[in-house]
Amino acid sequence: MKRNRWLCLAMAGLMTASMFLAGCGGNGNSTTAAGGETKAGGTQGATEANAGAGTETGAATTGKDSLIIGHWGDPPSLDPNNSMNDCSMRVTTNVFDTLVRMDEHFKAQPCIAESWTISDDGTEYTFKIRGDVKFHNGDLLTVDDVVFSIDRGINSPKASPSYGKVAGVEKVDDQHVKVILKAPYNQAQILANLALPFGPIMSKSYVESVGDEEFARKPMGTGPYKFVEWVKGEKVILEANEDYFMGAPSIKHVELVTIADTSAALLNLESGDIDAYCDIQTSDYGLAQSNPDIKIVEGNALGYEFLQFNTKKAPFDNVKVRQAVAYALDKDAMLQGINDGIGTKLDTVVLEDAIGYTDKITKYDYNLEKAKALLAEAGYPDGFTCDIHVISDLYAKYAQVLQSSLLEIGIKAEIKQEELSAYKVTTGGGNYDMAINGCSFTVMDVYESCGDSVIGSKIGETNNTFYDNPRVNELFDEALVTVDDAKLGTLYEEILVTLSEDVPIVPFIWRVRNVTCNKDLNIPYMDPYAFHYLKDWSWSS
Amino acid sequence: MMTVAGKQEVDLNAEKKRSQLLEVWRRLKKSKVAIVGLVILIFLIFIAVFADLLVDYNVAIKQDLVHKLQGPSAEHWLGTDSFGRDILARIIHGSRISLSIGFIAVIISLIVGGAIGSIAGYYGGKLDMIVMRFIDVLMSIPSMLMCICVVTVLGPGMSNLMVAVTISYVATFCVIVRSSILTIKNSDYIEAARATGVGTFRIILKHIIPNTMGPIMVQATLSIGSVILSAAGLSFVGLGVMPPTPEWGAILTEGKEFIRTAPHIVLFPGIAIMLAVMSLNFLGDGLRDALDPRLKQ
Amino acid sequence: MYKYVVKRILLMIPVLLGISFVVFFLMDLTPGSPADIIMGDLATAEAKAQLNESLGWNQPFLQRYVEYIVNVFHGDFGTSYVSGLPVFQELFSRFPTTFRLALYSMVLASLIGIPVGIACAVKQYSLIDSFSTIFALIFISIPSFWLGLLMIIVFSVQLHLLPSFGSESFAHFIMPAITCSGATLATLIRMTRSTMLEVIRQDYIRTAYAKGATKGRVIVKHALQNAMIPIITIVGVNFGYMLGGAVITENVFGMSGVGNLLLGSIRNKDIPMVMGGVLIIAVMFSIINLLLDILYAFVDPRVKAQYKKGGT
Repeated sequence: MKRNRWLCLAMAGLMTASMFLAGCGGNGNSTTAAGGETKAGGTQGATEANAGAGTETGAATTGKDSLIIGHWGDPPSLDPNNSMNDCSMRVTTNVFDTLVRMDEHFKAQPCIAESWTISDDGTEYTFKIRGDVKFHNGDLLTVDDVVFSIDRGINSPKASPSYGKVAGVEKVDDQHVKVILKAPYNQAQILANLALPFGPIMSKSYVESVGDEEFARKPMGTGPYKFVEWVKGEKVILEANEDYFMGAPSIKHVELVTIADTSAALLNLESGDIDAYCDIQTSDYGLAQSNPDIKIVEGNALGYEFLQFNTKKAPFDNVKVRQAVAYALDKDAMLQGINDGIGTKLDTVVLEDAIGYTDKITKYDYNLEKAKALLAEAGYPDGFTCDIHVISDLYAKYAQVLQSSLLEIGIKAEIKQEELSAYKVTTGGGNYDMAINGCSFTVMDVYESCGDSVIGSKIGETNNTFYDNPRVNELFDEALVTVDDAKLGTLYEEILVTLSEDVPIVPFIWRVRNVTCNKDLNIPYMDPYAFHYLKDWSWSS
Repeated sequence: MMTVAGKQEVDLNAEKKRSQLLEVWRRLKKSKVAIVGLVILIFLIFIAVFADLLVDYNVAIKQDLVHKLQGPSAEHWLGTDSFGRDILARIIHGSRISLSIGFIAVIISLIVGGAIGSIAGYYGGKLDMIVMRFIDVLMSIPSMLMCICVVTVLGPGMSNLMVAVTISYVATFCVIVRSSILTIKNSDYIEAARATGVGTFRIILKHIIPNTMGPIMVQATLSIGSVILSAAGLSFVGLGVMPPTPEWGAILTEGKEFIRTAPHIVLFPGIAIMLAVMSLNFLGDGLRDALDPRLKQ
Repeated sequence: MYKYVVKRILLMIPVLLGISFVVFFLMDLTPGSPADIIMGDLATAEAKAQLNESLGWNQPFLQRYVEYIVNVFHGDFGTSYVSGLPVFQELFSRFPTTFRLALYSMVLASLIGIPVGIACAVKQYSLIDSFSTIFALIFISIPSFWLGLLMIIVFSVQLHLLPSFGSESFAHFIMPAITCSGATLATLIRMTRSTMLEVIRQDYIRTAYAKGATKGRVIVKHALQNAMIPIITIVGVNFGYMLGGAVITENVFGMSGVGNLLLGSIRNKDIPMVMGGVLIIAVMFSIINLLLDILYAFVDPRVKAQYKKGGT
């Protein structure tokens, strides 16, 4: 009895202590302590790595050769054709290979296909398949496996990022396979699509013998890593494929662990429980940067955040109103205030090195005076009420910044945060005024990056701005079948300039990907999708 | 003759009721815990009612991104949140939102649940059977999941949040009201009233409801507290009020991301929620003791 | 007794049908089609239509519901829209976490709550009594997610003692179990106290004292045994509730339990998953209630006698 009384007291004391400590809020000391711990671990790892050969070709080293990577979720399925989820793809991109792979400059390089030719009309790609590729079970990869895989992919809706533009596949001979497209497309796009891990090459006999369900649990491919185990809800364990046809990877043992909370991930990084984490939140950048044992590897994603208007609904059917709101959108406040400076401020839908990028576009820098003047010109000197629809918490934050500036020019905006499903219905049905959204795509290309939101023929599918400009539609149609880069450039330039004047969408931040990791981990380049081809990662000495 | 007897009875009743109330109040006063609860609750209601006089609503939503995530200082007593908004002002105005969610949701579910429960309990038979099976169904679905489902259907926002919470409390009140009615339905004085020809509706309203008020009041007081908790919980999983509405749970949730760099954002709204719920629990507990003299000897 | 159990199990069926209909209907009302949610930005409209078709989404509501129920009666709970794996498999991979959390919380609550409650009753109006009452009332007033976050701040961020996230080792369950035990603990203290108070005043307790039994023996042997029913009910019912997944606690501590799974499934409109989850929770809850009723018979001879008479 007595002991229980004490337990009771102790718990009450604990509560008080927790409030007190939390109230103090000083975490400087403990962070340093954690840093110290990590340092000890890190140094040890590095010394061990020193002893090894550590060459770039990935010869076996005797140093640290294991890697624990954290990411936000557990894969729903490991069937590459049946899981549109980046956590699945981080596994399948390493267990399987695709016909081609993208290199660090985002150019397609041979992989399972050693070379390819394209028919004159641009609709048929003939790939020559390597003859020396072996699956993890020792079987040799044949053209039949390739045909089986692409066929399976075409028939799997969730593999459409890879095969959405593909109509069919044919075996030419024992070395060649012909991929037939639905229409001519830009070559870079097609190759980038085929390189996506949604549609890799699988073993026909394995998939057929174990069945789809078992395959989704125990994937087997040709990739640099063999699948070992999937502890549901916790982690996926991979092991190096020493016979990999592109050379054995230098990191031998990989675990992809689920840590949904990025603050918790950072704690785990500091304590050395994990070596790397994919995409920590920007509010944790400061903490990560202050720790000398942790580094942040960054790179541009293929995606950006934007504000979109319902251009068919008053008052946003008035271009002046849209321009006014564009001027009231404080890009710097969003970038610095919400993103802690992580990302790139944006004036158009592609970055500078893209085909068609131009400086001639109208730029909307934060200017409430201009915004007010434009509103008055449009006939709304006193503003109006409207709504801003968003899905995620992050977009709700951008929306709050916009809401606050709009209030200053008299526009009262109400934020409506919805579940994805509800959001699709309201925006798709045109029952909204403004929405803050983001997009991601497979290649840096004007058509890919904004076509879905502004092409007239896509109204009812993906175009929720209901923007329908015949000239822009015409330019896009032409661009789709233009193979020459210079000509494509002029077409895209006109599109970008027109869009910047009509403002159906206001792009504001280009997304950045990061891997936050142990300082001794070498990550030579950033995968824009954050799928991460781990063969290229290594531990430095 | 008849009328005179009826009138006398009513007068007696009223007098009895008044003295009963006084007796309850006398016993409630003796409980220090209940009085502490009452004082805190009145204080919070006071803040909610006079929020606009204490601090302008614009202060609660005014962004100042340069001064975000600051700890408590002379200028911002409880610090600022991730948009640089004053947390004290947000908590003060949040009291309106959180308390009104609690009170309104409970009152509505009390009326709806009470009506269903008293009709089912009074008439009994098939009607009672059907209603209770439906209530069984509602009660077998975990209330948090039910709320999440309803908010997903209706979309988030303050009124929808209230609807979701109300639905999950209707069943609770229905069961309580029904069972108290069952216990007194066959008691002698109801028989007597029925024998003297008093109408059914009148019996329910004049005799049954006042005599079941005790447990219902206790449950209602305690429920307001748990509704505030449920609403904050829904905010926590991202299904609460829309920004920049300063509901306590929403303020707290916004700070979740910054628990390492700015734990004060989580701390203060949590204390506010705790105080409100605690005051209601203290009061409810005291009421229970005051209404049930058996436990005090 | 046997008849009674069978009758109770049969009575579960209409309730379960009701639950399935309500939830199916609610989920159907949520906007959007499954493909929109599953496939995201990268898929074409064509591919989405194809997926919806293959999920049977285009059939009318009632037909889908009836088909679902027929399948359930054949033991087929369908496959998750999101993962494509059988619902049962998914649920049972998450179940151990939820079960452990429920078990630890209830053990913790009982180990503290029952002795404290007894102490309060034995020494009514003492310092322990008033202190525990206030403590219980405060504890029940704390938002669980707030308590969870505060514990993370103190024990994970500041002191580096406990992991803040995940559900792999026992250490991962310490803070969540404390968070979850709160409400039950408070109720247990109060309930144990009041039932013990009532029991202690009974004649047979006085008789036991008169016979010269020691105080400890009287409390454990006579009083506690007779006060067991409400205590078992509270622990049992709360255990049942917790098996349905502690949505918020699992969310705070990033545990891969049933609650988190169902939260995600509701938001993803993963209807088979939500239906399977809710039905299994409801079945478990009913079974626990039934077990409690049977257990009463063993604890309380009076109840047992009732069953023997053949009544319900």
